[in-house]
Amino acid sequence: MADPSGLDANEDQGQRLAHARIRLVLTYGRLRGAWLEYRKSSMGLIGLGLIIVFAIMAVIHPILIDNVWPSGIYDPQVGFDPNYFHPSPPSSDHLLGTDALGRDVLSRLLAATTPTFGLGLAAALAASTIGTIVGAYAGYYRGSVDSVLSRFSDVALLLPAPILMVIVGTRYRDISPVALGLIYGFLAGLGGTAIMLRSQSLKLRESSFVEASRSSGGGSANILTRHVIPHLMPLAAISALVVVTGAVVADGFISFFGFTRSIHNWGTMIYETITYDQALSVPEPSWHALIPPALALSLFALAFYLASRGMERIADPRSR
Amino acid sequence: MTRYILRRGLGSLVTLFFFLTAVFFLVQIIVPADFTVQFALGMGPAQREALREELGLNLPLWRQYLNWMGDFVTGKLGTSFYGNDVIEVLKQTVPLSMLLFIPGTALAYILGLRLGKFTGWRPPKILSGVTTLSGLALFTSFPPWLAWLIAYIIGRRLGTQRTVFGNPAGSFNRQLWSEIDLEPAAAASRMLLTFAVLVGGMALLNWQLVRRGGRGIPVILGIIFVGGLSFLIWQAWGFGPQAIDLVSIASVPLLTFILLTFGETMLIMRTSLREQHNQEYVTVARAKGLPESTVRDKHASRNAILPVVSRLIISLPFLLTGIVIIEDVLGWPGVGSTLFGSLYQQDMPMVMALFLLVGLVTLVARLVLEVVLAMMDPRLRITETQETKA
Repeated sequence: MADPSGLDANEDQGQRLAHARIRLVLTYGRLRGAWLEYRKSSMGLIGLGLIIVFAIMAVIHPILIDNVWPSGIYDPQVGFDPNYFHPSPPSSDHLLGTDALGRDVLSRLLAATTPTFGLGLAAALAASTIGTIVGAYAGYYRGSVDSVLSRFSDVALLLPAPILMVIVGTRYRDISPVALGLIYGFLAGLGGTAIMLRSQSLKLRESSFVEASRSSGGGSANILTRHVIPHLMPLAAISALVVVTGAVVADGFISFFGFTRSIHNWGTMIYETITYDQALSVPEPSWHALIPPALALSLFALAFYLASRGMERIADPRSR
Repeated sequence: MTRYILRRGLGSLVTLFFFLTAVFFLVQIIVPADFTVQFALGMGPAQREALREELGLNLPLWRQYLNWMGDFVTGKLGTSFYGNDVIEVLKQTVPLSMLLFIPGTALAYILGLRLGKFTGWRPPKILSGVTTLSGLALFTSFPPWLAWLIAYIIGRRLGTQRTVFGNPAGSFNRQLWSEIDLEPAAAASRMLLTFAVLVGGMALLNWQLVRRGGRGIPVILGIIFVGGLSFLIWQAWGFGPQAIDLVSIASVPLLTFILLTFGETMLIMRTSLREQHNQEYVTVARAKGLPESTVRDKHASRNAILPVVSRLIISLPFLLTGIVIIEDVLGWPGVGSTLFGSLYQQDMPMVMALFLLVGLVTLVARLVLEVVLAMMDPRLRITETQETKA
């Protein structure tokens, strides 16, 4: 006890540690409660399962290319197997067959997963950030801030985002999936997400805990960041998941119409298969190269939609 | 009520102005106005300059914007870069798109509500689970792929001689259409008019019947009745066979659109109806001894339908986008195919006019839906007036 200041520092540190531990336990408890609630929704569970399957698909492709598949044959862009006449139906070497250029369909299918995740995550992040900020401010401050921001939201809601993305795709052919996702997320967040969160923020503004905080001297900025925005988070997460669905489908449009040069893309796979079939005038479409990408695209969109239904249970106590 | 409509209408006009401004600058940023180069490869520099001047592309951007806005306010949409009058092109395409959009949305909505009622009211069973899952799967399926698949099934498997690639929905029977002095688009607008009159009449009749204490007309019966009667009217109007040709070709895109759209309505109706289960007024209605179907249709559904309508307002632009994509995939000669054609050719007056149209249709439909919603839910009107007073 020779140095009281050192003791103070120790005590401070101990206290901080204790606080951190309490916060950790609280967060863990909250997450556990959320998971227990999520677990009750069968739709949410199916969605989560599908997302995990897609994540495994994304991880497994580079491993397979490096260790199992000879890259000259299985490369998703330039691979070619000289032992087969292309397009070939499914066989033991090529589980989903090959396309007209001799590329392995399964390899291309797996290679497209990572860019699609990038696009979806970018869209979700952009939409929830923009949507939360605009929605919270418009709903909390009302008045002139509200009318200006709501006007922006109305306009963004009117803009047909997929068609705008097609225009972007015609101009910037080599645009990365992440950039496309950000554009889509920005539009969707300013439109639908912000409008939904605004009405929730209007409700929160009148709630008793915000009133209590205000009467005990809390400033607007404090109330917004400490009370309103945390309560908007679950709803923002729901609409971010729905935005992923929209972004993936919109990206599919661009590549389906052949507007971009993105190679690792499910939409491109469908587009190319239909184009080659048309050019070769085959009697039957090459189903083995058509169904997997179409199914993957639909299931990817479905997975995030289902996950949003599961999130709804956590966010909306009425549905319990 | 009138004040409410007026307020909403004025608000829509302001939104339309901002929307047009946003679209103009977005399109100009993405595709800068040097596109004469793209298709005038054979011209010398002097000719190209003359063309740019003629199209007004040499002016600064803000002058182009003012010119375009001014033209729009005075009702001129100008000519496309290929010499076609934009309004003429719109007249050729808009009725054909509306023939898909209006009946498609209405039918998808009715189907979605029915299925939502079915899956939301009974306790979860295998049948309702299967319905929900298939609705979900259709809702999230990739639209061009679904359109292509339906065209393939109808074209190949049912044996009609239609090509699978290129123009899967088939094209109009030229010989049939040359017999009469009527464009498909004009016929389509007459067909829409018939639908509007008949459905309006039915609604009036239904309202009177319910008011007198009778049962309303069943929806399925109503659809069959309207369909049959309108065919008779078209026959009398002198384009019966042509109308059948139009409907048979429209059936593929229409079916695709309905299958893609109904899922969302169904899911929202299902969730919304589930929330009504434990409400006190439902218990009271049951305790009065009302049959279960009356409790569901007359009491719970009426409250459950409100979120469905307000959701429809938000999803309108997406529905229109769906129509555009489906049209392009199936080769239906409506707004969508024109939009993509103009995009390929960088025909900006055309693209701008089509965006304007998409915005206008959305705004009008939204206004109609908002009024309908306010009629159904008096609370909305009251809060609106209180807000204006406060």
